[in-house]
Amino acid sequence: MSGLEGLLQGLSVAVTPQALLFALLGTVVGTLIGVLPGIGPALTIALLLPLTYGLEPELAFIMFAGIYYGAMYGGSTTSILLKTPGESGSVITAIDGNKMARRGRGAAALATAAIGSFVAGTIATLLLAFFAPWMVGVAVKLGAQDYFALMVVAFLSVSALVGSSPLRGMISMCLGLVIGLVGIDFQSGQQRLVFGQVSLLDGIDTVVLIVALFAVGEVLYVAAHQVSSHFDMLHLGKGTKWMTREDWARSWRPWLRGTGVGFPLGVIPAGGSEIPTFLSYAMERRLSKRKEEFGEGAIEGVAGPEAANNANAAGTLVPLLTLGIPTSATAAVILVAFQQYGIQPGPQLLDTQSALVWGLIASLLIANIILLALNLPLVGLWVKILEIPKPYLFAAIMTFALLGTYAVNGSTYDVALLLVLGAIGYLMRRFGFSISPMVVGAILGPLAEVQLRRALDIAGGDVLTLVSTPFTVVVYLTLAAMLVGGYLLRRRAAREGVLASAGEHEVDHADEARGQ
Amino acid sequence: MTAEFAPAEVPQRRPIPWGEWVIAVALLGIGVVVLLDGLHQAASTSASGVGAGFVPKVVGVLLIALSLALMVQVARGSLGEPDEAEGDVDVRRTRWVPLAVCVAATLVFIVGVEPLGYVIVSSIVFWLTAWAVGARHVVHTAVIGVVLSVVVYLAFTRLLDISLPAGVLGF
Repeated sequence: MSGLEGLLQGLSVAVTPQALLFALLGTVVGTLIGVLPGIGPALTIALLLPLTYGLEPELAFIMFAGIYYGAMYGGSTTSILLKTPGESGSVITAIDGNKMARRGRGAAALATAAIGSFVAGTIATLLLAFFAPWMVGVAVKLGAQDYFALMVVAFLSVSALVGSSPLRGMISMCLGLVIGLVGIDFQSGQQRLVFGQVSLLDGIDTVVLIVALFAVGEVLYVAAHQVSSHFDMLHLGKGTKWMTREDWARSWRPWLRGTGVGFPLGVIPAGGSEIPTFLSYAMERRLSKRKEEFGEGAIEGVAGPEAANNANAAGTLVPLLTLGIPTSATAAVILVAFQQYGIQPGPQLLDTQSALVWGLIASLLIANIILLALNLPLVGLWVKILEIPKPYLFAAIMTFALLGTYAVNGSTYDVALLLVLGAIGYLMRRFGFSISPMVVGAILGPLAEVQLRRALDIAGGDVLTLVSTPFTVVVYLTLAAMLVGGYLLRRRAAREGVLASAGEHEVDHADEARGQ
Repeated sequence: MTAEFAPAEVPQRRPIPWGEWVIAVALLGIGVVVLLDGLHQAASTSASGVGAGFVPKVVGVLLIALSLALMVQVARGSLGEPDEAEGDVDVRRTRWVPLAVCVAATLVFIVGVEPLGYVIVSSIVFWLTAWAVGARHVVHTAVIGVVLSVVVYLAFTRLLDISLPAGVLGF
């Protein structure tokens, strides 16, 4: 099936009154939760998973499409007005977006982010539609060792390229792999890391893991270390200027360039949205005639990275839907959502579940339109949500985390597990281990083991089979180039000064720049 | 937010980062446990001879190697950079009481949700967590917690067909 036919089929699924209602519901809830500080798209989807348990898969995924894009939109609002990027992809937006808001140009920053997200999201979703069938054509020719190579790339890129310390990222990924090992071995039925506990036989529920690491860990961290129980929020102010003609003129090229950077880097597993947003920012700065404005509130510095972030989010759906490989924490959570319905994404998915997949893709387009319509006029309303006092906000996050975990299986054992894993999430924040690699490790690890052992079984145990095809050789060489390139990029970023190597630094450095 | 940082401590003698060492040793321990678990798996009968123990052995060795590398880093003074969270955290001070209250809230949920019912337990969790993060309007917080819990309970049980324990309130 070609992309166009697929899209038409998808639209026939997604454009029914009921489906549109769920798309609307998804976008509203997604924006609502995504706009809350400290909640990124991954956690939003994990927390909202229970809402869809009673739904048909088609409707559930239409709702997910809305939640996914809604959460992405919501994230940019928080990073601009509160300077608290909920996820690594919004870190760069926070630098100039927040500066613009401080100068009373918050409305223009929000508008360029929203329209940029719309432009990037629409183009990237169309690219996804046309790219996915082609990718399936490639994917069906791949053997187990090829899949394993791609998964190794996903593991290493998400752990070694993202975050402040590659070593700590790798450790985090390894811990995820350990979590993924717990339970009964898929092939032999032997018990691994169960220690005689019956409840561990089924493994550790990934929804519980995600909610624990992202939500409970965050609440514990803030409760233990906060210095203020209020947010330092910037107000939009009444009658502030929307985007001026000049803003438009300065924004449209960054939107398109951001899309161009974001989508391909989402398709190849290049470690989430941190790198494309950084590249987009660096590119806009180089191309700009007003380099001095960057770091001080340049609208290009919001338009480009925000477009890159959204295009990247759509790009990550290509490997997820066609290969079944999640390349970011958010994609990993969507994979879990599929697994909840007994569906395993992969090359067969477009054939066996074509209504579902194309419905999802068409819904992404629809969600984008709904979001633009919701966000531009109603931005004032979303901003109001940010005025919820911080203690109530975190209390609500905790309440929903417990609810979501308990609702999965109706078991208090899961809630106890939530607490233990939440404590680990706290420690990881406290000691600078990024969370995403662990989530990807836990979810992708078991899938990678299947491919690894399948490859070895076919080859009679010969380890060299893992590099026996031209595809694997190319993939591993590319991986090596990516790791070296990432290292060089990091070093250059550190030298340039405005942007430090890691997500966590950037905010810090922008602050220092202002302080001088 | 530079103003909020305490005056820089005079770098005389770095305190030993006990937390980092404990983490590194714990990681080493996990690595050893995973490796042993892999070694104790029965031999495989599959075509390759690669069975359930293979990946645990690989992951165990990897984790041991990484934790040793972490120890080297820590010994050289390269410590982890705490998460920025909402930009207003200071990890040099740990507020143990709020932390304990949050943990207690979860324990209340675990112990109480089935006998007492969702609404009561969820309200308590809300109240305790809000208190831990700094809410001091005792009654205000309680009202919000109860309303939120009732709305969630009704939405889940009546609209979404997901059952939650009714408990002593019986609805």
